[in-house]
Amino acid sequence: MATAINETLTGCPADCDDVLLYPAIPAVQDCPNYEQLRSQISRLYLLPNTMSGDIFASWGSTSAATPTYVANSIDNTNALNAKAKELVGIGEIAVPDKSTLNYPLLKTRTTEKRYPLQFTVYQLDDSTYEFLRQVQCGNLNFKFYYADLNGYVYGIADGLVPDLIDVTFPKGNANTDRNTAVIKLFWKATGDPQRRANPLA
Amino acid sequence: MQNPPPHIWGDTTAQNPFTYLPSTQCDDWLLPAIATCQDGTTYRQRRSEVAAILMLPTGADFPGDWENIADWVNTIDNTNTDDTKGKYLVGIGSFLPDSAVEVNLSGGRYIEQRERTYRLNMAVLNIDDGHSALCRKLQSGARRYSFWLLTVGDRLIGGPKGMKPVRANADFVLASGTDSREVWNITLTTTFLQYPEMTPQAIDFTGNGLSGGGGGGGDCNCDIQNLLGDLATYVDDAAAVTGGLSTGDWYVVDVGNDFLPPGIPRRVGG
Repeated sequence: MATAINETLTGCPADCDDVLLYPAIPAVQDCPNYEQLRSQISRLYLLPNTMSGDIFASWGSTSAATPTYVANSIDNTNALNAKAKELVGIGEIAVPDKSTLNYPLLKTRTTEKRYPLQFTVYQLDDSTYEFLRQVQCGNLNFKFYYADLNGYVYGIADGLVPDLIDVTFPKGNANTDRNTAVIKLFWKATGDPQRRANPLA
Repeated sequence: MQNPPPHIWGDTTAQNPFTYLPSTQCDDWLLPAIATCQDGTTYRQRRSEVAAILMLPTGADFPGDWENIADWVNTIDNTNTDDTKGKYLVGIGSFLPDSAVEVNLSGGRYIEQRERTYRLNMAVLNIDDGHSALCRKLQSGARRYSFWLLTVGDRLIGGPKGMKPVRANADFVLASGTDSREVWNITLTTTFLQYPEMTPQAIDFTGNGLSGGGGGGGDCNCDIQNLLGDLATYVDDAAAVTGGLSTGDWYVVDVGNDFLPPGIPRRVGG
């Protein structure tokens, strides 16, 4: 029974006979000249389950992989669930809820996390408004990736499986308030998603 | 105790009245091997909730290898109405021990536990006409089928022949309150001497594939069935490559893989 828990962590030991090997990291880290990367979520790619293929090819198995964009796989004008949708907005991911299990000998382990992505859409023309109203139906018939301002895209091969999606249209009463749509997207995963250079950045 | 004769196993019209009895029951009493290393935190603690059941009518063909998802492809069809195919019923359930028969031996010096009775309680929330008709059938005590459990923890439980219900019931509950929803609470009670065989089975029977269309009707879009049925079976990626597949091709994992359960589709190269 599929449980929609994304297996984002690979290489974890299968049992306690197996050894977890930590990969190499920079030897020197105490200088101030490395770049501190922006974290804001800027793009959301929604892939209907019925579309053929993925939007990224050669996703690879490590962060060093350089996936490429599959030509014409994103088409916001498509209304047949045959192409992916790209939404531009401002988003964040808060600290996820964690499920922790007890193990014998007073040990514990975090087994899965539920991540909350909040993504505000400002471009609310008629078609976008109608699209987001349809998203309110709550169907989980899609997978997704998200990208940040720093040129990274996050997910796993074929996209992350969502756990819940909802949209609200807040109407503030202040003179400076504007119409926006707030997408709340949750997913369960064994850990944080894989990161790749975004060929669409 | 002997295994029942083959005609009682329920392959055709004969109905084993209750027991699921694995062949190992009468084997030599040797303690099997278990993992030597158990003090880490890396092993998986599986979720226990029952997520669905498979109901295969008596007389319908059993899957060739019950542990291989590909062999279930032509066994389950929710649109079938002549009892030649099984049903896939989704809900939220538990499977708990109910009672057990204990016998005193040697003047009370030994006690052995014999028939164990377990009870499946499952809430069915997707209620269309087909679901209601099926649950009403359970209310009449329908027991001419075997059933298997599917858990959220990716297990298929029931062994090659499934479990026989000794008692079946369903209740249609209409609770008060704004947040209350319709629910069919079904109950299947079964009896066995030894807990049925189970296997990891990280396969989803949902969608337009194995389970057919909407409950009680609808067209079956059998794309998934056809795709799975066409996949070759290999132990691992190396065997698949040797067999002619390339990176990115799909195959079904065979028994013997050290890390993956048998029966799941896998892409060469991960």
